[in-house]
Amino acid sequence: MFHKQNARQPLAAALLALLLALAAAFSCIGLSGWASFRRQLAELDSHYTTVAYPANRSSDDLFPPHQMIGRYILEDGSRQNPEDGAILPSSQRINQMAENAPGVLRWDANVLAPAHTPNQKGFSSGAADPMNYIDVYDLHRYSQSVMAVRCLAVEEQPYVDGVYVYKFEWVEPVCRMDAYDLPEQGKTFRFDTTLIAGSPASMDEEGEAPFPSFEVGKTYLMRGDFIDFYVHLWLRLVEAAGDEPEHTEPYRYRYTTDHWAKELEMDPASPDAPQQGLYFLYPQLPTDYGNGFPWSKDEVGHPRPFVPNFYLESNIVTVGEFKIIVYPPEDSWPFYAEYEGDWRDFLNTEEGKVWRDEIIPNCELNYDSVPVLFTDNVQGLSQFCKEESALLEGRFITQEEYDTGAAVCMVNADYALYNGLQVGDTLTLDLYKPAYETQSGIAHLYANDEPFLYTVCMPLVEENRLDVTRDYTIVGLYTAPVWPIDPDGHGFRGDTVLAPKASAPEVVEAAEEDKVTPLLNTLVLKNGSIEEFEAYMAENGAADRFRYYDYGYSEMKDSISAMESSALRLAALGGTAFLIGAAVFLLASFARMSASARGLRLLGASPRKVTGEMLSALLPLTAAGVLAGGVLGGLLYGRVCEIVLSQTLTPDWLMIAACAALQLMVLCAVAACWAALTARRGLMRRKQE
Amino acid sequence: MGEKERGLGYLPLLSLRVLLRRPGASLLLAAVAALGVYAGCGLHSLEVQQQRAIEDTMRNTVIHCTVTDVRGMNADNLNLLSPYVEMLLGRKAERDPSLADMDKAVANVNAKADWELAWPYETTLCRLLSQASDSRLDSAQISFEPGWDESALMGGEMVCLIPEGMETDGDYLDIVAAPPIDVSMSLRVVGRVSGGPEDVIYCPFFMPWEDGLGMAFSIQSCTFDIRDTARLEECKEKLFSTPFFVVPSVNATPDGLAVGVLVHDEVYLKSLEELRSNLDMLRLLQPLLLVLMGGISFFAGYLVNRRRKREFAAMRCLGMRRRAIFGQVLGEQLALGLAGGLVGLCAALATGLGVRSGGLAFSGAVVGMFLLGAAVCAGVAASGSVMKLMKTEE
Repeated sequence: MFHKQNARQPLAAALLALLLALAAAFSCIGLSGWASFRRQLAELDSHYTTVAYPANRSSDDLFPPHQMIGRYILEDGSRQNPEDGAILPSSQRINQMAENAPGVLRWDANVLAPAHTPNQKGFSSGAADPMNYIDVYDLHRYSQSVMAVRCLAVEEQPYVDGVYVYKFEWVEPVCRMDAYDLPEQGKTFRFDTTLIAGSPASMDEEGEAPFPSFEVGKTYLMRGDFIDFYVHLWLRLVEAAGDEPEHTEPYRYRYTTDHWAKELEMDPASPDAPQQGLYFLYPQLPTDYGNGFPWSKDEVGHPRPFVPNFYLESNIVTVGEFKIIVYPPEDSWPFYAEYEGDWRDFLNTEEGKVWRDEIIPNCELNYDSVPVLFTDNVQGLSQFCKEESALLEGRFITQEEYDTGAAVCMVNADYALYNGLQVGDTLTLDLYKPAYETQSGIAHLYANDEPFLYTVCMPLVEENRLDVTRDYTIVGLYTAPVWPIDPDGHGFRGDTVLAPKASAPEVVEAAEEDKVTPLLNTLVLKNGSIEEFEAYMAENGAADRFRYYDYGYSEMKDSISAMESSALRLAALGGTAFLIGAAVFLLASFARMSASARGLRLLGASPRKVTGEMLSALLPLTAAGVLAGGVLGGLLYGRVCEIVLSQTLTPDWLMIAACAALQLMVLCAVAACWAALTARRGLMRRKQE
Repeated sequence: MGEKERGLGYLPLLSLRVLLRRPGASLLLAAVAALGVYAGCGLHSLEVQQQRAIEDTMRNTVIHCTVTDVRGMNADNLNLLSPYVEMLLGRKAERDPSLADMDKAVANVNAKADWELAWPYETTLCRLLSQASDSRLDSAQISFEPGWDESALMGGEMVCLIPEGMETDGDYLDIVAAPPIDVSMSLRVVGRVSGGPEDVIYCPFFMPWEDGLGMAFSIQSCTFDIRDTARLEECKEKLFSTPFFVVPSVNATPDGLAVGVLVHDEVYLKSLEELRSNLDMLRLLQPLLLVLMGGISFFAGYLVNRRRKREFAAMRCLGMRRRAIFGQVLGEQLALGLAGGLVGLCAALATGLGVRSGGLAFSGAVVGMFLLGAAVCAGVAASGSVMKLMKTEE
């Protein structure tokens, strides 16, 4: 019967359905707006990264912990203030604490691994500007060299028995990175760390004091890190000329023995005179002291990696005082070899074969290498947060690329220029196991000596090769400081390639297997949670131990909360509009049907039948209205947004469907109750009225 | 007594009785009107709120800039001469007219320069523009002498800040610059630094070595902020309109004159884009919701009044003119609309939505649509045949 009523009055039925459709469309648009706001909020949130780094490293911290064990360092590594006895938790303890702090999303533990770049040249300080670029990062790879030298003098140190000072002169560089020039000042170099022996057998008859390793007048091939003369930065006065007024300018000089002697009028033989040249043994290489001897650890307490052919063994002997002799392991490449005549002839001998076929090719392999920092968040790296590094061309690595492990990377603009690379080019990386150590250094900048920590990869050796060669597409060029001298060791130099961690699972696995300590760690915090995090750390006695960066999120906080409230209000408006529209729809519908329902009841139809009849006519209308409303709302929102706004705001159809289903369920339930009440209404009531 | 005179007396009363007789429908229609007004105020308030959020973002966000070489590199190793800092401070307009008013484009210029002192022994003289110029002062406290403040660092007076524990002879500190400057000076101590480096004496960036004798010097790095983030593009345009500052490019060739400036505005611009698209969306939703709200009001009014066709027919039979019926229906709806609107307005005020002209206009449009629905219905009903209307089933 009610179907007939609808058919007889199609306009009314259509208008009712249209009313409901409009109400449903209103709520769907409100909901889409809400969902869109939420998406935008998430998008906005993703622009910002809030990170925390361990901070407040005092100058004392720069000294290896073993120097203070038993005094101010407790067994768990925590430090005790000798004055008031207050305990400062150790870094490890603080890290554990931080993991449980509120607002922490994750640790971004990065892995540094060296890689051979078959088609590109390594970017050493010599390649950039040897007088104007930090050189300590060259250690172990670019500075690997083989030199022909002649021993000029061997002197026993006057104060320490068994310690010899050797003086050499250059004969010729046998193998050295092209970028380095020969030392301009002075052809001689010396070193005096002489508790070194070619082998454990290099002792005197009592086995106590080591023989001197070199003899005066003899020539040797030596390998090791060629430490170019340390560069000091100073200022000097420049006379006025042309448009330029009289001014000061930075003046860089090589801190050589000659400089020491000439400029400073000091005795070049003084033990305090600067040392330069080849460092091939202690202390540049890790030494296996056994029994967890503290010197086996680097400056931040991480174990120094033992790379085959690039580490030393030790033997403790007593020479007056407590002494240690270090020497290369038996199966290691030699660190020096005596030769006569021309070193080229020596290379063709049986003894020289290892130099010709293994040592020199290994040096050359290291010259064409880069450190690759595998990370999950380039923008979370301290150097980027502090705006010391910035994107210059291209783009950053995207979250999707981090997640999927896409073979993309970012390289320093200097490195790219040096190798003729551009955004979109391919960089082939032949990956090696991660092996690195953190050292301390002093940068002599202007009038200041600035202590800092830096991390360098150990040399590339065949034993560490992962047999994984991958082509990485360069997506961005970044700038890097020339002097990355971060006191907390969070800096990296411009030769570093940045790539997604997931792009090299082999490297990550190797790091886990070898228990390599993660590097340049970043504690990623939820945006806006710095205060909460710091309060928690302060409560646990670790106040001010972190530095924070949020890319200006705190300045955006009010805007973001305004957006959040807008989103909620929009959803509430949509919901309320639907309720009102639905109420009008139901009221009008039942008003239409109530007289007919009463008629049916008077004719003897049961309330249940009347209810069923009413619902069978009403529910399709309701469903049609809600469905049409959902579709209308979605289309209107998506289409109009597309036309009016430059961006396409796709409506969330799943959410709209869920919303429509919920609306339909509510309407059906209310309609069923209303219909039952109408059908059960007293038949005499109308007359009495 | 004419119909017109009678109508004036009984029509409002009749309208009131009609409304009271059908409280459900009346309440519903009033609620629709209330919601319309509330939605109007709400949407407009959201728009205003979003606009304010954008303005706040612009006001609060600081855009940092880093001076680099023309290729965008060497930011920490510039060898930049101090006149460039003067250019950024707007003090070099005489050199090039494009440098005039540069201080209106940039702010918070940070630069420092260290020089070793021969006396006091093992100390450094650090020229700086502000406390923020030297990271060593990040956690330091500076206590200025009465009458002095941080602005002293921007000037060129022979003054200095010394470490808390440093002893002086009276109010002045004698210094001797290390060679090759090699000059002696007496600086007025205007403040003490606690919690900072103990071997650094700070002086104004542009302090001459001797009275009246200025000298250019090089600085390692230089950073500054955009003066007004809301005028970012304008400030950038001003900055890059000079031949001295350029947008860095990897392939640029250094000409010895220009330096690069990296403007760190990527995150800000992205965020602003999001906020603006958010605002655009709200502005887009407003007319869309107006149409929908108007539609709901129209149909609500139409459907409710459509049931009164017989009532209107009876009124016609009793001699009422069509215009009077139309007026009565419109009056009823107007009363409901105004009452509902008032409630909506009160609700908007009570819930903290700012009621502004834009919101009121939107609300008025909703009430108008509401009345239109009722008027169409009344018009249709009043214009029909009385006999036909009397036969109409509810």
